Amino acid sequence: MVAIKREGLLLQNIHDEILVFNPDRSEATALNESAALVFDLCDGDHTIDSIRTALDDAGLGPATDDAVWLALTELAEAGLVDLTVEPASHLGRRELLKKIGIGAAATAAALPVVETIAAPSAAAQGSGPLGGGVGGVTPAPTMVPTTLAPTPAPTTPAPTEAPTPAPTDAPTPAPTMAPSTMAPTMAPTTMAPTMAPTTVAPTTMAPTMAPTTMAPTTIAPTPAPIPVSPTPMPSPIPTQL
Amino acid sequence: MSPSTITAHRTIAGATIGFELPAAVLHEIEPAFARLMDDDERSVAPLVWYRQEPVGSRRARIERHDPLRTPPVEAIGTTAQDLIDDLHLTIALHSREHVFVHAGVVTWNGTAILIPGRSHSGKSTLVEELVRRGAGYCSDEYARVGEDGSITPYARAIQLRVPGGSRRSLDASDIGTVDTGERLAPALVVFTWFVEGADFRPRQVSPAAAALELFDNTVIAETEPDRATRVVAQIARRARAVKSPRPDAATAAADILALADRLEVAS
Repeated sequence: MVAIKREGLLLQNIHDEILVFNPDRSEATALNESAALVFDLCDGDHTIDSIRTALDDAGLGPATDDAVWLALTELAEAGLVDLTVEPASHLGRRELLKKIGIGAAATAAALPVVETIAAPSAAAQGSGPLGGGVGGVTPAPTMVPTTLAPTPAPTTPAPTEAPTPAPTDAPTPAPTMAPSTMAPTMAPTTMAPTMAPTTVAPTTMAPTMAPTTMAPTTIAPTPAPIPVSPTPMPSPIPTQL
Repeated sequence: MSPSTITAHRTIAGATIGFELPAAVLHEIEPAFARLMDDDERSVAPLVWYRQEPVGSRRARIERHDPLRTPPVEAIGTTAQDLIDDLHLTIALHSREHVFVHAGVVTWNGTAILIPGRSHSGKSTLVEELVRRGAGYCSDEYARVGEDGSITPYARAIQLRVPGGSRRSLDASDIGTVDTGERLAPALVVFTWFVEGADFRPRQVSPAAAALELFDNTVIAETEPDRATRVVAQIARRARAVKSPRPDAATAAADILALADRLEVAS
């Protein structure tokens, strides 16, 4: 046995890959097919040998100890598994790619990829007048509460918009884009506003919304946003469309 | 509360919001959300309220009271336009029916094309060009995503930036078709960003990587990660995802629609 999955992770299987959310870190991680298979086998029973064999059986090369350790260490760094043994000395991604060779693109694409981001705050996504608002967002209850109970400590206070991720992809040959006809097949539709009549129907104020209950109980200093995992991995060699 | 102030609540795109404002202000904002108002007046107590509060003896400002935000009470401006601007993110945060993902959305061949991206990423410009070329308009800012990954339009006016930092609103029906359908199937997700002189060279993005990028653009990613991951995973299961830098919006729009046609033929 070499590793065990952490408890409390939120998993979404997407075809043969997995999207994982780690509530403890407030991070989301994408696992490609190879990494997902290794992650699945982190059950406390499997060994490096049996995981390597499983990769080989699934045709997810290179099925080597180095590839297995690469996946395990990245899964551990992402907080998704706990290693039960000290990681053996192994090749890193760069060395593995060099060893595989440039010509073996398909094999290189099958290398385990573990990519992690911090959950973005709504405030970071907005941009003021055009895109959103300012201020932070407090982790929410899922139901409308009947009383405004004190909320958990607020999270990221940063009101600034996160920059668009810088593309890191290597250039690729131009695709052969087939010309298309621009005629849409969709028939125009008529707009049917669903707005209620313009008369304003007064309602009773929710008793819980009294200003006095809105005291800023959550303006305590907040922890810094969780940074992006220090070991983001390059995307697999993409498939040209 | 001044005598002219009324108290009301509205359910907009699944978010119930309370207002304590002059009737004139409420009437002024309603057209901006005409396509998004929900018919059913459910008796849901609003969690978030907008109130007009006096500032001195002759002026007033609008405050947002929202326990999900920090700080929970915040002045958002003085005009109806300030209120409209602020309401969009509030709706996205509070909708109980849909998960809001920052994305331009158009329809083509009866399915939805999503162009995820934060504000200032050029979504509106690209969406405008797509609509001018015959795509149906759904949104320039948000994909409203159901639990099954289907897309419902969030058809606000297209907000275009103009030189000098100001903006202009463009009613999509003036340049093309506005799609009012619901539960549209997501067929294509295009992660793209403007690069001077670039060619649009789409390369496939793996499903989990696509879901991760969608999650990074999901409004409730931090507050309701379970719901957010479920929904973005559904999109990733149903749609093809590609990634590429893009040239100017007009060229890129043509390329994207050509790609959508090719994928439809291939499928």
